[in-house]
Formats: sequence, C-alpha cells, structure tokens
Amino acid sequence: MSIVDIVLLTLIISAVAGAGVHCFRNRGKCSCSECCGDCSQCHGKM
Amino acid sequence: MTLKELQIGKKAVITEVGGEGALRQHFLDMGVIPGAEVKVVKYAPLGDPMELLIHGYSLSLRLADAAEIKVEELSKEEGAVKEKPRKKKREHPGLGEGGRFHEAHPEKPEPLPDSVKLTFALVGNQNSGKTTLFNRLTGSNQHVGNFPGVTVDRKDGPIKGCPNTRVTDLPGIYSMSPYTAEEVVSRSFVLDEKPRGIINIVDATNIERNLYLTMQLIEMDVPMVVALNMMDELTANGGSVDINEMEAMLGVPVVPISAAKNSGVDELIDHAEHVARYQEKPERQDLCDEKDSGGAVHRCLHGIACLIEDHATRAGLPVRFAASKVIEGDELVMKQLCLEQNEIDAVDHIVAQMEKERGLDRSAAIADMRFAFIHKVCTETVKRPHESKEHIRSRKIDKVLTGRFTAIPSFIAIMALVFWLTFGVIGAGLQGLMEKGIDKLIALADGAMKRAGVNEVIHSLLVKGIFAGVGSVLSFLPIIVTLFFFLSLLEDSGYIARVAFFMDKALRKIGLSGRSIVPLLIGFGCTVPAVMSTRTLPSERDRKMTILLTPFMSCTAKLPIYAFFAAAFFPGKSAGILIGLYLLGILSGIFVACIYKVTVFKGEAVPFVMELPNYRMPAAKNVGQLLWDKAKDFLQRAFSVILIASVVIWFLQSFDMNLHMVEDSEKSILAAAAGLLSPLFAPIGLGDWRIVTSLISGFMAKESVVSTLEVLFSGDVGSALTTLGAACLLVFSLLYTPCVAAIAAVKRELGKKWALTLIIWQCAIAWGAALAVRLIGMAFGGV
Repeated sequence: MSIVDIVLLTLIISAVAGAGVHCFRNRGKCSCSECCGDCSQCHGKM
Repeated sequence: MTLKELQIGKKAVITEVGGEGALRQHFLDMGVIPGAEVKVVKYAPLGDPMELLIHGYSLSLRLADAAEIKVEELSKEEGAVKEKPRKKKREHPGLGEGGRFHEAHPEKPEPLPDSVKLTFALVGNQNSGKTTLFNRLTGSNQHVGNFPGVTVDRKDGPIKGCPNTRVTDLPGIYSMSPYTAEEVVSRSFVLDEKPRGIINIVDATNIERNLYLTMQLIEMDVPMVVALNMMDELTANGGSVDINEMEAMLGVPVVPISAAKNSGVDELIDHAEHVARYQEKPERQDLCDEKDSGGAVHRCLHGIACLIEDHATRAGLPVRFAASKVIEGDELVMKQLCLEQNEIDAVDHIVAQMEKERGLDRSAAIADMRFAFIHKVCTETVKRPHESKEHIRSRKIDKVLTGRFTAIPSFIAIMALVFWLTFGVIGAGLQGLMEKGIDKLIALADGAMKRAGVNEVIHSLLVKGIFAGVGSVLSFLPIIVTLFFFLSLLEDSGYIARVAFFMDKALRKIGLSGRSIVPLLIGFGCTVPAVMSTRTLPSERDRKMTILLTPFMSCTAKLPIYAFFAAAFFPGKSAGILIGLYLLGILSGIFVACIYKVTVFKGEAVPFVMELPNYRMPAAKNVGQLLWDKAKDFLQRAFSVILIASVVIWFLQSFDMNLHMVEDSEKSILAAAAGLLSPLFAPIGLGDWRIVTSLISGFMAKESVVSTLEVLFSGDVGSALTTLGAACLLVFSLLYTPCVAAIAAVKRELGKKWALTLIIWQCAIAWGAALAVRLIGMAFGGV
C-alpha cells in the first residue's frame, strides 16, 4: 500500500464514520427541516 | 330565511345558529352569533362552499351548514356601519411598565428572582403572525406561510438577549374550546404547563374576531400582554387604535407592533418580561356587563363561579374560566371539576334560567356576552380602516383565481406551469449543468488516481461506489430546489387556502374535505411535513384518510428516479413522462380514496370552515430560508445516508461470501441475498437482482434507488431493462412504500399498526399497478 492509498483509505473511513455518527445522532430527528414533534427539542412534550 | 338563501352581495343579521356539538361551538367562536352582520361574498366555482364577510374577515362554510343558520336580510341603509364620535384621549394606564406606574402599586408581589426562568406562551388566532413574531423574538428561522394552520406543533426558544427565558410558539386557535388536534396542543399548554406569562398576538386588521380569544385568555388569570400585530397595515389603510383606552378596558398591557417589520418588538419584550417577573395578572376578569340584556348572563356566570370555586381551585383551574366553560358545557372542564350531582343539578337550573331570560341557548349566550364586550371595546377604541389595499388586491385576484368558470382552469394551468418550469425549463437546465460539472470532477479524480497508481480496491470504492452513488444523487439538487421554490410561492402567497375553498366540493365526492388539499399539496414536496400538517384537520376520520393518501402525491425525493429512467429510456420525452407520473399518482390516490370511502372510512367528511387570508407577496427572506433548509437537508442526506448506502452496496456487490473481490458481481454477496427476493419481482419484469436491491435501498431514502443503480450498473442500466420494464419500474417507484422517515411520521400520527399496514398496502398497490402496466404493454407488443 502506498502513502496515497493510506491517505485515501483514512479519508474514506473518516467520511463513512462521520456519516454514521451523523445518522446515529439524528435518528428520529426532524426530517426535511420540518418539526416532527419527536426530536430532542420537543420529545416528550407532546 | 337561512344564510344559504341569502344572495351574493346582500347583507343580513344572524338571528339563530342551529346545528349541534363542537362544530356549532366553533361557529360561535368564529363570531357566527345571533346579532352578527354577514355579507355573502361569493360561492365556490362548484357552487359550494360559500364565502362570507363577518366581523370584517372572510370565512368560508358549506351550504349545508349555512342552512342551519337563520338570518334576517338588511336593507342597504341598515347595513351601513355607524362610527361613534371618539371620546377625548385618556392617559396611558402604564400596565406592564415600571417607573411611576409600578411604584403606584405597592401591593404588587415582589419580583420573581432572576434565577426563575420566565416562560411565555405565544397564543393567537391562526394566520395572525405568531411564527413571524416567534422568529423575531428568538432569532430563529421557523417556517411561516400565508394560510391558516402552518404551525401544527409547539416550538420553543429563548428570547434574544434574555437568556433565562423561553417562549413557546403554539398552533393558532380561535378560542379555548378545542376543535382540532392542534388546538388541543395550545389549550393544554396554557392550562397544564402554566407559563409565567402569555403573549397574545392580535391581528390589528381583524381585531373583533381576535379579541374573542383574548377575553378567554384574560379569564385564565395569567400575566399577559396583548401584541397588536400588523399595525402598519391598519394605519396605512386609515385605521387607528386608541391603545391607552384599549389597555384600560382590557386591563392588560397592549403594545402595537409589526412583527414583519420588526417594529415595537423590543417594547413588547420589555412589557412581557415585566408582567411575568412581577406576576402582574390581568386587572379585570369580570368582562360581563350587569346591564347587558337584563344581566342574565352576568348573574349566571357569577352564580356558577361561586358554586364551583372550591372545585376549580382543587383542579387548578381559574374560577372565571371554569365557570364560563361549565356554562358552555365543556366536557373536559366538567370532568376536571368533579362536581357532585347536586351541584350539577344546580348548575343546570341556573343555566336554564339564564337561557330563558336571555332568549339564547347557553353557548350562544356566552359567545354573545363576549362579542358584546368586544363590540364595546372596538366602538370606543378602534377607528376602522377603509378597505385595505391588500383586500382590494385579493378581491381582484380572486375574480380570476376563484371565479366560477376560471378557478379550476387557473389551478390546472398554475400546477402545469410549475411542473413544466421545474422539469422542462429551469430545474432540468440547471440539473444538466450540475451533472456535467460532477462528471468532470469525477473524471478528474479518476485520472489523478490512475496516475498516482492507487490501489485497485480503493479506486473502485471511490469511483464506482462513492462518486457514482453520491454524485448521481447530487445532480438532482437543482430540480428539487426549483420545485420547492414554486411550492413555497404557492404557500406564502395565500393561494393554497383558495385551492382548499374551491376544491372542497370535488374532494367531498371522494370522502375528503377541502382542508385535506393542503397536506396533499405539501406532499408533492415531502411526505413528512404533509403527514404532520394533517393535524389541522378537525376529524380523526379525515386525518387518517388524508395521511394514507399523501404517499400518492409523489415527493421530490422520487424525482431523481423518474429523471434517471426517463432520460435513459425515454430520451426527449422526459418532461411528459414526469408529468404523466405525477398525474398517475393523483389518479391512483383518487381511486384509492373512493375505495376507502366505501370500506374503511365510511361516512362524510367534516364540515368545511376556513378563513381565507389576503394574498401577500411572498417574502424573499422566507422563501430563501426555506430553499436553504431544503437544500441543506438534501445535501446532508446525500453525504450521510446515501454515502453509507453507496459504500455498503459497493462492498456487498464487490465481494463474495469468502470476502474475496469478485470480477463478476453475479457471484457477490448482494446477488445471493437479493436473488432470494427476485422471484417476487419477476412477474412485473423487475426480476434482476440489481433492480431489486435498488428498490429495497429506496426504503431508506428514495434518492438511494438511483445511487444504488449507478453503483451496480456503472451507468449501463439499459442492458438490464427493456423500455416496458423501465415503465413498470417507474410506476412501481411512484406507488410503493414511502421512505422510512415518512413511515416514522405516520407511526407517530397513527400508530405502529397503521404504519405497517401502509407499507404492505402501498407495496401491494405498486405491484398490482406495475403488473397492469406490464400486461397492457405486452398486449400492445412490448417486451
């Protein structure tokens, strides 16, 4: 594996991990920028 | 005579309001009370519903409901508004202010300590500008629109510059008698969460109707401020309000503001903070007049207030509010009070006596008492504006857009123009440019990696997986933003309320009410907010039925699928195919609605009562904000869900069960797994495992169908499908289960059972429709 491969692989892993964290953090959160009544801001207050 | 028989342009005075239950109460709360003057403005193009002018605002209701309202026609002279000479100016009462006014009331309680959070409820009628004010107060960017019922849920935020505060934007309500689910949210908040203060927003151009809610809020005995919004519009049209006199008569601070122009908002914050900090409750609650119509209502209210005082205190309800609700027969309040049988009997006797003396039934008598007080306040304090230029403009526009012979052709022309501009001109043109740009970038990256001798697996993952998947979806951003741009123009201009007005009769034929058109039109943007917006519908039956029909309104996330296949299999006919698919979705929805109407949702849609707002020029900031939100949301999805899906799909189709990279993807993990489901799709011509995979990935996000196809076929989808197969796939994609976010929204609104049923039902419909397309196509020689 060359240095370029390592850099690219690191970037890909970071991007996928970042996307995964984003999806996990936003699970059940408002979609399409509209309040769904179920996000952290209003959950349980309905 | 009845209101139904009154001719266009004629005025009459209401003598009796018939009907029963919540709808009648809603009529009364909207100001349709004995003694009120009405004018018939017009009938909807299909002859029903009718538009009325009452208390200076436009209200639409069905002829069947108008037949329940008895009226007496007025001559022209009788109908003329008589303005009373104004009294001399009063000194400012200074409510909600410090300084000399505060010092003059040493009996007021000590201020709450700074550590106590000041919570405010933002309460007002629908379309009175609550969310615009909320955005001004908190600095947030919540979506605002120009039709009743944009806000369907509460939203919280601290007031800018006041850290220990929280203001809650509530859905608009006309009274404290809840009629729809969103109105329940507002009422429950004020009653149960006991905010430290209420900011009551009143539309100054429509004071009479708005003050009805103000009177009920005053009865809640919570510190409050009245924000008289849209004062700029009122004064621009020659009207004015004697703020000092109004403040003295209502007993609460009144602050003139213009939320849209951000004027008076700082003063409002000062007053709100002051009344909440010093817990300055309304100075008066006894708004009934002992001289009004012999004082029957006054005596009844005070008698019942004394009778139930201990119960109200125990239940944590304000006594005056509880008394008026008991007289109205509010079941929720009655239940909370837990009155004994003797007390219930006593209440009934008092109410019966009041009804006899007043000559009106209990609900009408209370509404009449309130409107009598409001009339007094308005006579003393309000100089009515001449017809506003906004209203004149709306009348002129409505001659065409809701005219008898022009309304429906105009609607079809507007929607056709929107779709043509989106798919044929602006959106498609911009998409082409974006696609070229993305292709160039991918080619550059590809070349660079080849020159650098990047590892074959990493190169494949980047080019065939990530770039192909995410890039294919990204190119559709312009088309989606363009469609949202036009939908937001329709929303903000006030046209959507008109569509509900003239489509009511047609929608009733398929078991829906005119109000259902709003969620259905929003569904063309995204199913999630469409499902949420059904909260404005007053009946559970209508709400369920509308929610189950929103998936038939093709959302923007499906656009990439249509555009991708239309370009690949129907070159030069893309716009026609896309519009055809939208029409097919609508027709399928109508067909399914007819089935629902005679099976699961038997019965009639609820009556249609809706306020028609003036047309307004959509604010560039609002539209820009909405487009930015939608674009941001789309980009986030492309770089999160789509990115992960592309990598997963690439991995599964590049490796076999022993994790060896395969040359032929037929030997991959994905081929083995998706192959199990292929027989299900074979009858509709979609038996290829790669197509099956892409359709399944579409459940996560619809755009994922295209990214998956791009990864699996490397741009050569034509080899796996015939033209007829592509047509079947388009129809299947149009109708099959909505994405997981939409299903989650349905689950929240209707529960797990309905959400699951919707998934299975939509898939079955899609399968059946695709099979029908295939069989018809084959009959005409297709393969």
